Amino acid sequence: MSKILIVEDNELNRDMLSRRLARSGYDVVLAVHGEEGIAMAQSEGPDLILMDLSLPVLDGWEATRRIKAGRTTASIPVIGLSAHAMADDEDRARKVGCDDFDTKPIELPRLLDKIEALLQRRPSL
Amino acid sequence: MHTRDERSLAGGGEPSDLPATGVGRPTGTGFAVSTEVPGGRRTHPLVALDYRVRVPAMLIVALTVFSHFLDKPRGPWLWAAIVFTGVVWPQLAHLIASRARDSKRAELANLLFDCFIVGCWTAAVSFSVLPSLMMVSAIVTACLSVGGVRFTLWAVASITAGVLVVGAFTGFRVGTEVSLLTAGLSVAGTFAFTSIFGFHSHIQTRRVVKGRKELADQHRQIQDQYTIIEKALQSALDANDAARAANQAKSIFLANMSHELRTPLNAILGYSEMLLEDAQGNAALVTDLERIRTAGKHLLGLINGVLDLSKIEAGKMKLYLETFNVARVVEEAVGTARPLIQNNGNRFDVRCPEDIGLLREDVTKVRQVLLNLLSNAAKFTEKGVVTLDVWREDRIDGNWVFFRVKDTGIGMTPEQIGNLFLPFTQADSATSRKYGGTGLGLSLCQKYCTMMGGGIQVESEPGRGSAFTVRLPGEIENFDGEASLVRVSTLTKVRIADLAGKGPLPGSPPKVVLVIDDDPSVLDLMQRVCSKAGFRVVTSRSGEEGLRLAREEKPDLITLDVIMPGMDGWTVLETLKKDSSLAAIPVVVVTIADERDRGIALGAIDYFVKPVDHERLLSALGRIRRDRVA
Repeated sequence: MSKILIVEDNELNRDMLSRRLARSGYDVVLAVHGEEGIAMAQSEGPDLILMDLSLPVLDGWEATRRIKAGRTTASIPVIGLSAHAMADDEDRARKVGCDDFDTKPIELPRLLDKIEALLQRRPSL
Repeated sequence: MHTRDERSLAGGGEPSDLPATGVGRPTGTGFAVSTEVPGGRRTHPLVALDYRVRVPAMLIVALTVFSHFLDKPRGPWLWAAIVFTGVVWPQLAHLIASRARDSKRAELANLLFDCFIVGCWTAAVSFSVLPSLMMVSAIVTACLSVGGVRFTLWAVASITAGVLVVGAFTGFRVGTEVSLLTAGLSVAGTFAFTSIFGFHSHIQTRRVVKGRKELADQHRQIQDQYTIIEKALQSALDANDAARAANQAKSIFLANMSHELRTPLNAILGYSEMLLEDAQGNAALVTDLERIRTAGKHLLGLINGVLDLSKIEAGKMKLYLETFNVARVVEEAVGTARPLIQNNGNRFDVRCPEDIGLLREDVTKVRQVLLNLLSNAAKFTEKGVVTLDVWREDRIDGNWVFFRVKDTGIGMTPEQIGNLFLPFTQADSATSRKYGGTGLGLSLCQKYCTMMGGGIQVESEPGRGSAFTVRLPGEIENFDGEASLVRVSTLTKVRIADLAGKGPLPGSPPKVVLVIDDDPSVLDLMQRVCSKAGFRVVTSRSGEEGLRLAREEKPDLITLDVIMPGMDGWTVLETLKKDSSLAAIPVVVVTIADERDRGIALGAIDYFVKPVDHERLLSALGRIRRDRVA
């Protein structure tokens, strides 16, 4: 079972997304801000990270940049999530190393496609 | 005027009786202003001034000379000369000056003649000190005040000429005895002239002082006005800054609001979808949950519409131009819209020629416009007919592709049509209650069509139905897109029919296409499509191998998958573009991820999302073939 780390500060969205992904057959771990997200990426070794970009303490862009700079975490694919529909959110996300990007509200089938595409890209362990 | 002149001649010539010209009586200080004679000529103010001085002055001169000759032998010529000097000459001088083309010049000539007369009388009175002094000092002062030093030299010459002419007759006789009367008149004359010039000088000074004061006042007024203008300008600049800041604030507010609204919406939509999954089988619950989800999606549509509109207004809406097959896009839109249209018991007729060809536009926006028009038609038509006509037409202003969506629905009045494209305005509020909708769709459609170089037109009649006609430029080679999208300098209009079955162009070796993709089925497909179009195809299963083959084969075109094991497509693309021997090879990115911007930014000339549309691929190949042959 693939392990997905969700980094999301909004409680409702965190709960909803984690339950829906669990239903879709993923093992889900949670972090509520960027700092915690980096720590969990190191300790949990997830197969993929869903990173909300507007986060307290340390925002998603910076957290992604550090994850992609970390020796052990650099290879973990990251999908940036943003409720901003402005184009530069996506550009910024790509620049810091996000492998993919999606906008909220989430359309589950579309997100699942993106998750699968990235998971399949990783060399199977 | 001349009659008045004659009258004043007869009456001894009081200056007050004789305005210099027909218009406007000169005031004490009024000689600065030229006056206009009825004929339209202007008389110099000097003429009037001199006249008023000359009449009394010459009279005094004449009287003084007359008194001098009272006890001396005299003849009629002398009397005539005295009368001429005292009475005739001032009037004659005025007449000459005011009729002359250049009145100032004529008046100066008169002054010189005054000098000549004075010179004559000076010699005639045997250079008697008092009368001579009175006459010469008066005329020299007058000339100095009117004409300055240079003119005064001429004046002295004239006086001398007068002295010489008369002196030749009198033998330059010098006499010293002066009668009491002559002495009195001379003294009185000197006194009068000194007073006149003194007074004149006083008036001049006063005018200068007054003029300075007026100038200072005007200067102050101008300063005040300048201050006011400066303040107004500053406040306009401030207002402009404020407006810019407000607009900036509005954009930030919209972005934030969009974020704040989307976050709870995310939860609403997500939970309602989860509950829907749980509630399968409970029909009543499913209906209610569907309603929650539909309302949530509607709200999302509104937020997106508002954002799109504000992006267009801020000039931040981008067009992603690509070449696409019109028939294919129409087919898609029809597939989506058909259930909506048929739900209301409508018939749906589509007339779109299969060979209508290609368009180069933002396909997402074209699709959005078509769907919007079709769903509008569906919404406002019941048990009627909705028709979609698509055609291509050559007009004077170029080649156009037209899309017409026609319905037999409720139609619109001219007033309703007038409001149609305004954001948030539906035909009227009753319509909006009955039919729902955001009222943003059509204004977005119109803005999109304008952005894409086309337009949208509407015809409608209440109760009869409406017809919306969209027009988009049909020439795929003539577009002013963003420069980054146009790496291939000229796009050649490609007809699929031209390409199919056409071998390599005569006289040139077949062009080489390098296909880099880890999916064998894609390699196979690309091989078939490209060889059919007359290309030699080299395939590679990985990025590393692809780079090696690119260096060996120097292909004319590379198609590149993004998601590959090992080295991914972005890295391959970057490496290609950094290598000077490979950078010129056009690269087409072919992938499942829609990241057009990134591909274009890295230097790809085109971007295809899988599954690849063969016709589009062929059109891209054709472009490259023609360009590189040329």
